[in-house]
Amino acid sequence: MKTPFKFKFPDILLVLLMLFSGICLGFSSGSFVINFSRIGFSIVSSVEKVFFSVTDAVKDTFGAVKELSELKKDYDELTKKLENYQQMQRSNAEIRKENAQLKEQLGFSESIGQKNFPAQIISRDIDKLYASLTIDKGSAEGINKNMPVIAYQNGNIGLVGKIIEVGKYTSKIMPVYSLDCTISARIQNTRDLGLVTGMGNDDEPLSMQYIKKRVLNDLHFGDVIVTSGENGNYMRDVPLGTISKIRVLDYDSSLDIELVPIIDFSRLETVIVIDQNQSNYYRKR
Amino acid sequence: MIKSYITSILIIFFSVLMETAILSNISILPAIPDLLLLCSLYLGIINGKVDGEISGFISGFFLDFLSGAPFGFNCLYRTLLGFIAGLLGMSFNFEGILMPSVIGFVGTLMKVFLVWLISLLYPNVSVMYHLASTSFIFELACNTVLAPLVFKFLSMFKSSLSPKAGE
Repeated sequence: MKTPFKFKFPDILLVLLMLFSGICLGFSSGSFVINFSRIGFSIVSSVEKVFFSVTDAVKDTFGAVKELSELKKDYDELTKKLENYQQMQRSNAEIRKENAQLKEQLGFSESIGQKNFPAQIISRDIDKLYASLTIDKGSAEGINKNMPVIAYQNGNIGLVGKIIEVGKYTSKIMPVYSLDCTISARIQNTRDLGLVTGMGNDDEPLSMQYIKKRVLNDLHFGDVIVTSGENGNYMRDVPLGTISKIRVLDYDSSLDIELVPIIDFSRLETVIVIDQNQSNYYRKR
Repeated sequence: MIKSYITSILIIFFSVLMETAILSNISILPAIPDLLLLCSLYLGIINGKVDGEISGFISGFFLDFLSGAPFGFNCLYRTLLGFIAGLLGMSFNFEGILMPSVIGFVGTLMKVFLVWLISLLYPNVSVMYHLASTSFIFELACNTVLAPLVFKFLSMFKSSLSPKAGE
């Protein structure tokens, strides 16, 4: 007698693979005895780092050859420009200001009170579903899970996110624009406390909730939102964004505020990972 | 047999690196073309259900390590996509430009559907594609346009990728 349903090897394999994936997905939000994700991330992302370095080196080599050919042309143009520039008189105050800015930029890493690790971003979100950034520093350099990550861009300091996965030589950052990222934050001027969450995409604004309607008159577009530092996850008073839109909802006692992130993530190349538990004093000495 | 599996894994791994280390760093792109999806679809089509689901599973495995997604998310829907590609692969001719484009287009839409299905089954996975967003339309267009090129490129390794072709 023939059975109406007959499972063949491909069907059984499909069930097994999907069962494995499904169980892993179910467990991934909790803790599991063997952290497959961390082991795999360490291995694959280390290879990714090597691959990135090689492609970067190749890109640089080709860039250097091209640059060399353009240098001669640029040199002639610059010589002419230099003659013009020399004629321009710059005030002493302007030069001092520029000098101070450059010093500030160069010495920013050393100026932070806590021990910090400058790192380069080696990869970004693969799809627009889950936001993540991978950097070229890992546990070998002293990076730990949950360390806050900041950046210095165009003269501004801003919060980038926090470390969520640490490999041996690479780490994964959950950026502030991630849907899973929630940060306790304050409005810098009024000191009102709220929660900032991402919308999942670096093109979209951040959202700030739980600010009472009564403070509406005290808020202005462009007001800076900073971290509160209350739960210890992030340092205090690190800028997150500026107010770009305020919505008053009839059915809600709180305001719905949109923020433009301080950091332009599409142009972000380097970040600074902060170890809040260790001071930076030894580096200054 | 072993040779075809090793070649498939190498191609998938190279595609992962292409996506994560190179394409993801090009900030002008609104979205990244899903080369891995196209590779899985191709492998499923030429080798059948088993290879399709295995290649889908492996590609998801690598992606889960590198992306911010919870572990198992990419594995789950890519395994199913590879299986479906293997199931339907033998029924049509995928040479030329039109059919690969259609496969790339339909495969991307199926991916969206499966992601939506997973978000229903797993309450903590609250992600889905916005069909009207620029990033999704760009990804759909890229996958549709690139599918014939990727299929053509992979067909150069057909003797190594398909045990049947080698026989």
